[in-house]
Amino acid sequence: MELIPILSTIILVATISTFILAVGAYILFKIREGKVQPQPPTKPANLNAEYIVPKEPKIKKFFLDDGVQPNHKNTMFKERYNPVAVKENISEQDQDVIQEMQTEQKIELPKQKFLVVQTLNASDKTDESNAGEIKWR
Amino acid sequence: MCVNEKNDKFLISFSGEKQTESVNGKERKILRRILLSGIASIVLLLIIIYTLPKTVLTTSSLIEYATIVALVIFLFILLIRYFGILIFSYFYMNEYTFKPTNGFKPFVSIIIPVFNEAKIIDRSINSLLKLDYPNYEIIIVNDGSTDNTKKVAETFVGYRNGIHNKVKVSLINKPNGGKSSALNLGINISDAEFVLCMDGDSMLTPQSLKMAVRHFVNPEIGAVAGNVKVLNRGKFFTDLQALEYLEGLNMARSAQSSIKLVNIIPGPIGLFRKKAIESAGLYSSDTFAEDADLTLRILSKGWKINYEPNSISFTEAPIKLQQLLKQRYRWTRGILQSIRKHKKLIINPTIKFSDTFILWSMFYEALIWPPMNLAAHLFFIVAALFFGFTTLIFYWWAGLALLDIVAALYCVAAEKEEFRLIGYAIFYRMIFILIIDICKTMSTVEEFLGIKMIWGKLERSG
Repeated sequence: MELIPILSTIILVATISTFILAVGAYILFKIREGKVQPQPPTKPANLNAEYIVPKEPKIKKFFLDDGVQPNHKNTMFKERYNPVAVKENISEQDQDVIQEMQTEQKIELPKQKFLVVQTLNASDKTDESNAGEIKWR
Repeated sequence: MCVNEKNDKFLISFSGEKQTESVNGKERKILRRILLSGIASIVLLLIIIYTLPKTVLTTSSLIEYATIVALVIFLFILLIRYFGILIFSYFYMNEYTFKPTNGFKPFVSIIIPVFNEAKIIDRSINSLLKLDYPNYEIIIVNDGSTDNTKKVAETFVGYRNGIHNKVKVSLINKPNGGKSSALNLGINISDAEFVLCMDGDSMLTPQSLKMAVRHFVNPEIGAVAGNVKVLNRGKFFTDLQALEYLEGLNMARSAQSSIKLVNIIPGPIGLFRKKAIESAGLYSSDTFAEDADLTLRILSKGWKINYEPNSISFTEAPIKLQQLLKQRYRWTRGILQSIRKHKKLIINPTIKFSDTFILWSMFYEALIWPPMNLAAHLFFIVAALFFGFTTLIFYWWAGLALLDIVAALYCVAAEKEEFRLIGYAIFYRMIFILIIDICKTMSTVEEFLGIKMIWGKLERSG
């Protein structure tokens, strides 16, 4: 027997079977879906959500020229503001932390702009890393 | 309000989205549609019956000629589509695959909406913490999960160790409102210039963000679509889908990207310029394909959209036929709803020709192609069973299977994928495409009739 008629028969049978299978599966899907048709929830005009955000690292950035304090999105901030005067009052311990952060972040500062940071509370600097479990008060 | 030593908890208020669907007079509308289509079909039939004796054709010869013409048109469109996509895709892949990354590394917020994903959320977030990118944060939006997703997500909140530095992970717990509302809330909370939206079950590769961001050096680019791949391979059904993602979805996206007009930014990975997404009006919940709808709105605002083949997101594919049908049913109806929302652009090419082109291509893929494919199959079945032309179906199928094998070879080579997937091209043509096209056709009919539908959720294996 020739090969082509055999292959043709196989393809024909496969196509017909797939047709029947697909239509049957679709009907079954519709029946199942029809059984679990929930009512759409009514949504109120205003909803409340809870926003849990880690505390900012205690190393704060100060810009004394205009009193604007940048948020954590410092790259965006740098584009908008060009600070001219800064206060330097950093302990040795904090300087190491700052240096480490700056090298880690690899943020390239524009040449004409500069950024100096000051710690508010040196003892709290361990809060930067939150590797442990969350403790609720 | 401070609730924890390391985390702050805030109460935020946002507007719930309105239910846009009006039930009034909907049944009447459906009946009117059925009636109009019935009348139109009867009129067409009467015209044929009336005019046929005045021509040289007989009824049987008319059917014969009509079938031949339809098949030739079908084959012509198929070949144009395949080769067009292959050629455009080749040029695009060549341009971007070997291009080095630039130094553009702006701050990016990654929004990850989760709903009952407790089993797999840790996998997704861990993949995000391994991103080779120095400047990003993660915002998890828990969309009213009823399992312990909230608890699992809370354990991630804080400054976590990333590859380059500490990564800020925050969490929003909101009442259930759907994926679009969760993503919108995350986008609104974020202050970044770029936001990456993904699915709760997706996993990104370390290079994904870096590779996608580089496109935004071009200020015209409003969004970048990533490359979605099937994660749960190894089963016949999921392997077929892995091939489909490669051959059917990603190849088409890279071809569209050669003209910077990708028509669907996939849910598992899409990077947006916040200005673009805001100008388009954020995600909308009035369609079942919020990603397609948003993409069309971004394009209509004049932004360009690229595809990044190296920005990979692995996602779980349905493992059962029923789940697959549910997914495709939603996709098809969602795409049709999105097309309907932008019907002005379809009808009037003078508004924006590129958008009209994109919408027509979507219209063709969703509405014209599946019934055409089914009709061709039915024709060969009838020809074989009733007229004895059994070998016809072999030549037809062999031609198409060859085309699929060539396309699969190209895709596997271009994306350095598993070589074994090529073998599935035979079953892809014989079984998979037929099942999908039957589902698409049925969904189209249901959408046309306006039958109600609900969002389904894929069961995760974890």
